This record gives sequence, structure tokens and C-alpha cells, in this order.
Amino acid sequence: MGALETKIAVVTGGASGIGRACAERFAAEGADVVVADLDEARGAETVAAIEGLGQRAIFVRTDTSTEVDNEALADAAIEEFGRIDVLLAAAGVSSGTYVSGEVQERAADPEANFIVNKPIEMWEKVLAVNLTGVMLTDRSIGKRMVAAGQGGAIVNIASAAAVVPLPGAADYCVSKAGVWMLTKALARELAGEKIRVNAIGPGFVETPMTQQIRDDEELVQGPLAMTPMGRFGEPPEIAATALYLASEESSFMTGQILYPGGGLFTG
Amino acid sequence: MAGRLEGKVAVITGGGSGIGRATAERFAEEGADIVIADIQDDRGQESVAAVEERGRKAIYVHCDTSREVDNEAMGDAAVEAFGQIDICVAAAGISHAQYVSGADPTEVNPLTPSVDSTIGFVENKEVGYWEKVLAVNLTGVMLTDRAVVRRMLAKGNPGSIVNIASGAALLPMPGDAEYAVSKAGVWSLTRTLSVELASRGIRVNAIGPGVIETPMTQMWTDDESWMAAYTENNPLGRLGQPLDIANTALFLASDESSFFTGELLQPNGGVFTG
Repeated sequence: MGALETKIAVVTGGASGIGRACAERFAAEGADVVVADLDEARGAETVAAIEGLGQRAIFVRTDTSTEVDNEALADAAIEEFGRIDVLLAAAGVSSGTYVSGEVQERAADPEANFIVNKPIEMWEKVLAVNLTGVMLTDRSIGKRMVAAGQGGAIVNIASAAAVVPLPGAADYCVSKAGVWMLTKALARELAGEKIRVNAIGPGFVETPMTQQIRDDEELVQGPLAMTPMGRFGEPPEIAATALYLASEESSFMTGQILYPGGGLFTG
Repeated sequence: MAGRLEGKVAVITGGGSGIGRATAERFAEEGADIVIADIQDDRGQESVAAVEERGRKAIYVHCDTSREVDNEAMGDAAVEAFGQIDICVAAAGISHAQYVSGADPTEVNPLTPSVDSTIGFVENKEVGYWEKVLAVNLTGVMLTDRAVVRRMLAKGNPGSIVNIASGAALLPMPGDAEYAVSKAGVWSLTRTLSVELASRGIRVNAIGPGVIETPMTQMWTDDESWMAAYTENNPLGRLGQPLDIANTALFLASDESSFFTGELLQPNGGVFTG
């Protein structure tokens, strides 16, 4: 018996990294899954993987930073499956120039990305996707959960960076701190509807987002030194955390953030 | 997702009732054999029977967790019975110095605010009460943790330690400072232990439950006005059940939480803890 038997889950950022791992794990536990992402080709791969596990899935191309896309995503989910029980909001960018799956150049000057030097557009882009995007997804799905009156579980992928300063990535840290506070506020607003809202603050995880760091022998020492377990996390470890928060096993938990970070100090 | 603790051996202190009992039963359902440690022999034996009903093996060890010798003897008994220890849930604890698990809560507790709103305040509290609570809740957990950890390290097997702290680790508790301080200490102990053991395959995490329906909270939950205020203020509007905490302990004890160490999980119905 799967922990999400008969449940319908929406997963944004479902084409790769943490989102893909969550989509697959949810399916392995019996859920049907709506995969939302910008990347259609890799989104289709996730759909195929879920179907390979014997569950149903659809792909909906979604730019989570736009309200219209989030509303269309929720509509598509309802049309296909009739309701939504679980939302996993994993879509995000590490920087204003990040494109999932593409390797980025390492800045020659480590201070080029400090707040005093960073173009405002980078800040705006990161907040638009990571923070406003999660808010828009949460409320599109949240509205439909409220309308259905059956409760639900929302899991937002924040980051340990919500509470740990990372010089050169202030926009990312601020956006994730925002997701964490959004989670707490939403948890309060939706508790009476039996919709639980929690966040995950992963430490450093082996995903496309950290590939540039992991491929650089010098850069990779920073994250490893910050992580008492001395390794990067793997997407299935974050997916197991998401499963716990999505399932009934966490039914007394809302407004919380869980940190699978290998012991990374988060204050 | 059944069988998450198949073949594992778990030590559970405070295993005779409340959160400890529920955790023992849940772990047994997931395939673990259990060492029940408690000071209440009859209820400890009931937990053993509950584990056996679920098809797993269990032994009971009388253990005053505030004493090093009892914790060491308990660790020895576990290894003797089952060969090794994979998991420890340190759930033994008291809410105040005169607490006796299972005792009639209607007997007036001289520390309850209904008697005198400031009688339990730090300024008035007998130092002996403070010492008793710290001895059981904080030093006791440290002694249990290390008795178990020593045996995990000796055997060289990976392990998972789950300490039952409390939301009180992070919240002020007027009239029950010693409880809040003891639980804050458990949380701090958890963090330091987690770093000491991170490179040796032993994870250490804590749980900060909210108000759970156990013998420990009965003196409050039996009070209608207390319950009305609680239900009004708890976002999810209900008491936690021992099973809620047992499920959290299961997550932390199992490989599902393999990238977690030094963390505090708070199943508390949404109470703000900072």
C-alpha cells in the first residue's frame, strides 16, 4: 500500500532535479502526477517515468512566474484528474541567468555578484520565479483545494539558504527566505481548511542547479566544508522528505520547514 | 512503504506509555525488534506484549534513565538480546519534578498555576525541583544517547538517534522553566552530538512535539477551559496523538531521512515556535 494511493499531485519544476525525483517517488507511492515545467522534452521524460511506474501523468508547460500559467496548470489538473490533493512547488532558479540543464560560466570576479555590483534585473528575475512564482502556484492550487473542501498538503521547496547567508547569491537567499515566510503565513491561513503547508530547506543536493559547483574542484570545497556529513544530498533524499510532508504521516505538522542538509547549520 | 525498519533493533526509553509506547508499536509494525526501557515495569511489559502482538521480538529493561549505570546496563541488555542497536528513541521524561506517569492527575499538583499563579516561577521554585527535571530530561537523555552511541560505534553499524524534546525547547513556559530549559538542552545536545557523529554514520535528530494526548498532558487536557483555549489557538485545532509523533520518529529513524542530522522536527499543529 503506497503512502499516496489514489492521490493527485501537482509538481512544478517536475522535469529535473528535486522536482523529477519527487514526481517519481510520489508515483511509486500510488499518486497520479501533473508535471509542470518550462522544459517540455524533459517534462515528457518525467511523464514517461511515471507511466512506467504504472501511474497516470500529464505534462503542462508552465512558467510559474506568470499567474496565467499557474491558473492554466490548476485547470488542467482538475480537468484531467478531478481534484488536487498534493502540491510540490519545486520550480526555481539559482540566479538570474540560470537555465536548468545548461552549464554556466563561473564569474571571474567572485564579488561580481555581490549586491553592490549585481544588475537589478538579476534580483528581479530570481524573486519573480522563486518567490512570486511559488506564491502564484500555491494560491492557484490552494484555491482549488479550498473549493473542493477535502483538505490537502502543500510542500514548498525553499532552501537552507532561506536562513544561511550565501555571499554573491543574496537574491536567491532572499527569495527562499520569502518562501519560508510565505509557507508560515499560508499555513495559518489554510489550517482551518485542513490544508497543511510546509517547506523543505535542502542543503547542497546533486541536481542540475549545483552541477557547476560540483564540477569545480575548488568551488566544491565550500559546500562540503559546510556539511558535517561531508557529501551532497541526492534528489531521492529530498523526495523522501517531500513524501513525508505530503502523506498522512505528517498530519499534525504545518507551518514547518524541514532541513535535509547533512547537518548543515541553519541557525 | 511497509517494512521501513525491517531487521532493525530499536531502543525506546519511556517505552511504557505515551509517545514511547506508540513509537514502539509503530516501529514493530515496520519490522523492528524493540528494547523497552522504563521505570514502570507493568506498563513496560504491556508494551512488550504490544510489540509481540505485531509479530516482533521485544524485551523490557527497568531503567532509570537519570542514572548512568542503568543506561549502560540497558545498552548491554539490548546488545545481549539482539546483537546490536540501530535506533534509539529517547522519550523518557517528566513534565515537572513530582510527575509520575500514569498517576491520578486530579491529585492537585502543587505547581499548577490554578493553585497560585506564580508558585512555579523561577523566583519561588525549590532548586530540588529544577535539579530533578534536569536530571531526568536532560542528563538522562545524554546518558541514554551515549550508552547507545558507544555500542553503535563499537559494533561499527550506522545508527539513528531520535531525542524527544518539546516545543518548549523554543518557547517560554512561565511556571515550568526547568522543563523548557531541559528540553532546550536536549535540542542543543542533539545538535552537538550530530556533528560529533556525522562522519561516523550516526544521525542524531530531535522531535519537538506540541501538546500530545498522553499521560503527561492529562492534567491540562482534562480541564475544559484549558481545552477550549487550546483548540481556539492551535491552528489545526486538535491535540496531537502519540501516533503523530511515532510517525515522525519513524521518518527520522528510517533511511527516508538519510540526509537529516542535527534537526528538530515539530509536529505541533502549526504552533509558532519562532
